[in-house]
Amino acid sequence: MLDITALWNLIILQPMLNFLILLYNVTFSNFGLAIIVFTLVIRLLMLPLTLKQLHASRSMMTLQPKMQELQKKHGKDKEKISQETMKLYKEHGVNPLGCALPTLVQFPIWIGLYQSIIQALADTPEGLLSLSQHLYMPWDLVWTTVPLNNAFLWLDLARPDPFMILPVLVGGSMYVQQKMMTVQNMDPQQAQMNRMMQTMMPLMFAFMTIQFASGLALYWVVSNLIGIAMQYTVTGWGSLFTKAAAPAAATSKPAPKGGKRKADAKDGKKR
Amino acid sequence: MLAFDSLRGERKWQYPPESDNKLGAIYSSPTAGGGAVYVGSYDGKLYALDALTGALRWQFTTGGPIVGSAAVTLDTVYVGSSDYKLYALNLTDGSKRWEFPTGNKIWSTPLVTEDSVYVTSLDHHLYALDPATGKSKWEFEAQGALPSSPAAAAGKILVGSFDRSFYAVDASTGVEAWQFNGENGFWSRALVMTDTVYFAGLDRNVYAADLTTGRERWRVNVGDVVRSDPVAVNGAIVVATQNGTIHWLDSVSGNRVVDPVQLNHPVLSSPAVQNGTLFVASQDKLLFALDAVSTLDRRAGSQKWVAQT
Repeated sequence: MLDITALWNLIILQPMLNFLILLYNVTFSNFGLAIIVFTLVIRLLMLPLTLKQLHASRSMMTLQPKMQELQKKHGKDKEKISQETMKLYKEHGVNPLGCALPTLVQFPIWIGLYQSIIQALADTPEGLLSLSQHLYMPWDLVWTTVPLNNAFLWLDLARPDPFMILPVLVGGSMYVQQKMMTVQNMDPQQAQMNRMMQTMMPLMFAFMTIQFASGLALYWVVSNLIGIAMQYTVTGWGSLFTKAAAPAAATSKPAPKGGKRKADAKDGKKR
Repeated sequence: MLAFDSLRGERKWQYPPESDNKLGAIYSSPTAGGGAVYVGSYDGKLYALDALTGALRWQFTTGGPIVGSAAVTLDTVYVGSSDYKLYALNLTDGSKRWEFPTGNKIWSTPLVTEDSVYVTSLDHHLYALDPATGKSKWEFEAQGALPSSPAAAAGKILVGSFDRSFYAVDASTGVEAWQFNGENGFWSRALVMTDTVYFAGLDRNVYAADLTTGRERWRVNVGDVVRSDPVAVNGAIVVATQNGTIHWLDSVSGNRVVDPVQLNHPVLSSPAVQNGTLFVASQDKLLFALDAVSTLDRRAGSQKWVAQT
């Protein structure tokens, strides 16, 4: 019977690892390019989920005026507001979890990719030994390709960025993407929490980038940039240039100043 | 780096002497010569230590971690490094005689014969060099990386590759004599006894093949990956698997001479044999001394002593 590690290796690590090594051959033996192409492929595979997320966030934005009305109507009765908000979501076919799903799905990809990068570069004797147990038997190409060249631009992809450029890019791109996605919340407590998340998550990822292989950070940067581009096409700059507004001042102003908003009330409907 | 009394396992010296001041990880086996032992470290340095006292004679710094062992002649020490280079150093003071650049890391131990130095690199090449100048005589390109150390026998150089093949190459021309295909990469060094070559693979098999033709004579599945080099003991082939099981195989038939001994400690380094004792260092810092051969009252594999390193 397969144990958890063997199952993980079989369905996550080995396909990713062998695919990455294959990409390395296609991308002129450049592992940095292979990671970038890999990111594009992953984002393409996740496109249906990402579109769902984008539409969910756009729908949430369009529902803001109605939610503000609910706030006004029910005052400090949080339970009632909560009930009415859920009702509103249901009426307009919005699933608040739809925003989080693509991020959750990416967790195993991150872990698998991190393992694949370390394994593929086989920087240590143990690494090469372990790699030999994960390559696909019939694929001659992968056996003759390893170990891979780990240099890309100024980076050794198996090690953290020595110049700290990637942590800044990871943190910065993540902040922009999150800010664009953020729905203005009238509940001060919730708004405060959103602001904290907007700051903490990029900081956390920047911190991880300082310690992890830069190949993984490269994936994060490229993935974030693709995310920003996709978000822009659906919601414009969203809340990026909007200052965190006081609840009273923000009423009936869902569209940010200078933002390119395409959403209208109809977009609240499920597609 | 530690020295033990081979009979009782008592520690004689350690380098550096202060226990809180340690070298980088050591993947290689120490090599003795000229009253010294030479050991390469993952910190990129090759250390020459007095064999009796452990005092440092000299050290040489390379540009990357050292994984393979050094090869020693009367006046020269050869060592490969992860900085892609093979170095030839003066035995007495460690000064550099020459260096030879390859296209990738060197994780193997060079082989020195009368007229050539042979070295493999992860750049897929086996190089034959002039020992005096370091100039290339010929190079042989395998399909995959070459992490295994070369061995020589009957005018052939034998090397295992990560491309799942084991190669025999003419020692004077670099032309391929034969190629043996396994089921996974080969890392360990070949062992030759009369007309048979023995090599262990990452596919969990130990193979015996005809030295002239490369035709398989037997194979035995030992149940786990073998990274370490096989050693010959009294007509048997002894191999240590990664999970710490030691196998004694008959060199003619491949049959097990005694039941495998399970150390239950992971082993990547190669065993060494001296005066009927088999020494095996485990990855978790233990050194085992086992009976290398069976006697009237003791079975091969019986533990003589174990020391903490």
